[in-house]
Amino acid sequence: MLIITTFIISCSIPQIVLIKDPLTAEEHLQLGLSYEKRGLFTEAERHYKEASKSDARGFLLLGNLYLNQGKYKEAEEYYKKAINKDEKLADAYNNLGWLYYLENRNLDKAEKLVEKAIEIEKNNPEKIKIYEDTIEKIKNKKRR
Amino acid sequence: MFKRIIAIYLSFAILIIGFAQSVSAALVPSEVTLSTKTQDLEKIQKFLEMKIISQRLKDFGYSEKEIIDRLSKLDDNMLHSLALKIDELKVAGDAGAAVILALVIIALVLLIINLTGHRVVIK
Repeated sequence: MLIITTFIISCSIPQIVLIKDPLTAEEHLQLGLSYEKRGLFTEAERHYKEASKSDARGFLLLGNLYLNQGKYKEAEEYYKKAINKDEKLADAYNNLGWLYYLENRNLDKAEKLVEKAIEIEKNNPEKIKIYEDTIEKIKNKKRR
Repeated sequence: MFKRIIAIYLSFAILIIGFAQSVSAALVPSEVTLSTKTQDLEKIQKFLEMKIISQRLKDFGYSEKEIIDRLSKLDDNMLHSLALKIDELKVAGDAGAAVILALVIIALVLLIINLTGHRVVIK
């Protein structure tokens, strides 16, 4: 009787299962990027958001995802979030500056943002090359 | 005349290609931020999807042997599909009236779990 009662109770009471996140923030970013490249944007978004809980690059990659989809308002929001979470994330400054360039607004601010990126990555010639390219384009647009 | 058309076409194509490259160069792409080579993404994805499924099976009480056994039967497409639907993976069961009682317990557990950053599903 005891065995039967135990069996019935164990069948009817829901079991609680702890779901552990097996991926690190870096891994969420990598998987998100892979999905983004395959056009699985919703999945990419989910992994970037998961990563952004502990890594500002999650917000940056969300910004890039939205920018590439032409969702400039959302992109701006997430670049700003990335900068707020990690003020040394130079790529976020550059990409926000680039977004302003594309929208042809806040060009003075855009220039300052990219200058900040150059200052942060002053010892990284590869990045500096990209940032200088951005700043050059912004300056040209301002002259017009 | 034909050569002239070809020359004009090529000049135009070079101009367009050059313009497209210069436009995209000013945005730091995500793969540059992550220092990831695009050609490695497929391998990385497969590895991480296996990791997700393996952990979920472990969460549901499967042994290491059972996990390896199940994973070895999956091809790349199945692995990918399963990884995408992993959050829907639940084992069916009759909750019945006990759900109400369990909800009280779950509410308490959720409170504790939230503090540790884990998630909870009911099977």
